[in-house]
Amino acid sequence: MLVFVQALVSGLSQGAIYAVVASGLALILGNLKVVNLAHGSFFTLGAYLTYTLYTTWGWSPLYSWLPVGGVVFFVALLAYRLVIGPLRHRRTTVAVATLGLGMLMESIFIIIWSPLHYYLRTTLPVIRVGGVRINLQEAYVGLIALLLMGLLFVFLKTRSGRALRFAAHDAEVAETVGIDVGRLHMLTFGGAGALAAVAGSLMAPLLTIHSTMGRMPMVIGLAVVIVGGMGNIHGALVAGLALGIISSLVGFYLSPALVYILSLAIIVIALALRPTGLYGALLRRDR
Amino acid sequence: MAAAIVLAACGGGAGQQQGDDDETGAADGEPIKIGVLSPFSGPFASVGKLKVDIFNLLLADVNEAGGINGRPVTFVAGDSQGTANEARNQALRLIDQEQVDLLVGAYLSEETVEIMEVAADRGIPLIIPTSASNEVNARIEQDPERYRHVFRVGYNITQWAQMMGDFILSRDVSSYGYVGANIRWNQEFAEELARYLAEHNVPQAFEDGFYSPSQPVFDPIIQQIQDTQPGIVVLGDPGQNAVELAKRIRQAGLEVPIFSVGGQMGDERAAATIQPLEEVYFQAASWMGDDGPTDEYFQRFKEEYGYPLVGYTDVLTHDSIMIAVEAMRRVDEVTPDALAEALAEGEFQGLAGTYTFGPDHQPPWEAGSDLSGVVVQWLAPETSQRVWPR
Repeated sequence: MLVFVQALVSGLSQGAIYAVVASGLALILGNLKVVNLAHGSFFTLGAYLTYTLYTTWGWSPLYSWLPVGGVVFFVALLAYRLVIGPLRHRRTTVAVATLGLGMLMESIFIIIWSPLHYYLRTTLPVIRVGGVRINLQEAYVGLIALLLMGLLFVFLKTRSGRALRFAAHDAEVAETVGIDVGRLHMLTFGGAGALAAVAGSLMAPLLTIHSTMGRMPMVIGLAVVIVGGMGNIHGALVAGLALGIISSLVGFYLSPALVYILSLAIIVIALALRPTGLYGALLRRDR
Repeated sequence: MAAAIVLAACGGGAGQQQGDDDETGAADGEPIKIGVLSPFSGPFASVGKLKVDIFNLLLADVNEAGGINGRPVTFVAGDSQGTANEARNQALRLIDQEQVDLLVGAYLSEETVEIMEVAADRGIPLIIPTSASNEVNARIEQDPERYRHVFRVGYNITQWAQMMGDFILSRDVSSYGYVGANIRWNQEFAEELARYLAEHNVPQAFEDGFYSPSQPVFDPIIQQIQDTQPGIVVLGDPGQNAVELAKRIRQAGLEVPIFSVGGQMGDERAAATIQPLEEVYFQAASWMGDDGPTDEYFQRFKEEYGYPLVGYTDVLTHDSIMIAVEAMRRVDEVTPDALAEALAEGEFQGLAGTYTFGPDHQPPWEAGSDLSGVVVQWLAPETSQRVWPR
């Protein structure tokens, strides 16, 4: 039982991070209808900026995710204006452009920070509660991630959020009723980039910082988005948490070596059973 | 593009001429070209930067001292990107287009095995600094004539496991735990280490210490360490995951000694993030501590490039370059056959010791020999000591 609880605790914080990374991808997919293959680079940028803020001004990674998210929001806006916006009506081209953008960003990271690896200390300890180890650093990361998801859901209930959902539903009709869809897309891209950067910032003390560190979180995020139902934020949250917990359970009960393979296998099975993803059917019915 | 940026960032580049006459006035004549194969882009890009920095530093010295029999030495870099295919393509480019006299590389074993074939087909000398796969030796032993130009400087998996095994035995532990990435290299290393330690009745405390390199989940491994309490935990992954795992082991309050195969654990900046930094050891080819050439090299490199060396790829790349240069100095004419003969028959001094190549073109890395490697313990960030051999 203790092992099961330990696996759940470990999986929840990991899953929360998956969910935050995936939610940004889901936002873009839901609104711009493209897969953003530069998403991992915003995660990396968040980690690099966190490292720089710490080593330059001593800003703790515990709170530097806030300014990091803000800065990357504007970086993502700029990326949208320069790369995505001009191509936004050509979805296939945009997908390729995001891939190029991601590679360009990785190259810029190397120019700015060199190809060297960087490390940050964790600042919070591990505590034991009833025999279960709780890594407070991971728990903090998970809580902030869940908080962000909560804020995202609240935003989606606001007037702007409803406009966003309406534009996602039918951009052409939205434009005819006066919604500036182009601006919404730009803000969505900025917000998604900021979410990825916050995830990278929060994870920076637990990972090694280097130019391609965002690739794997992006791949996992894409898997979460697919399972959750393409472009569905609720689905991203549920699927992210589920994937985190499943990965942890596989690691504890079967083998840590099988985590990746079995996680992917579970995704394939889930899609075989529900081809539109967990929330895909709801999304389709909504339409 | 990333490769070009890395090379530009390093102050080097493909086709760059090092230490020509105008700069040094020390060497003239037709330059001798060394082809350097390494990842300069992707997840292993940092290795490419390291190698370019080492080549720049050492070849400047060589050229200032008159080059090789009066000829300057240059290097040309090829980005293997961490893949076997690209390593082969770049090896072909360096040989056919750049017309290098000798190749040094690559980094990953799968890359190296691929370029061995290119070097053998083209009859170009290849010096392998690090790739540890036993397949390199097996191929040379199977067909020594075909691979007569291929030499490895670094330790192979068997030698590595035995050197680390000797240190583990010196600690008189009743069991050990092995943790590594679920990749072929780590599995082979684990098998070699288990075989060696089993001969000395030191069993593994737990069997399932492999994690997915793509999606590492460390808590189950920490749980196993906690449950089985091995006398020492061996981290078989030379990359970033070992540092991340070591951080988590200590965060979890486990005081078990940690012994890494080396690599990133030798980076003082990485070590500084492991708290508490007690009983953390790593294997290295050579390390500072005796005010000798290794100390000088480490200090000079850090002053020049601003980042520390780790005692593995950096030392073995240094020694590979010095061996290549020395071999070229010993021949009348720099031809593949003359170089191969000089390498096969000579003795070469490096930072790690004196190198001689056996029939499988492998130096005899082992405890008690002149090439025994060292085990280093972190005492504090930026403070370390060699603890093995005693």
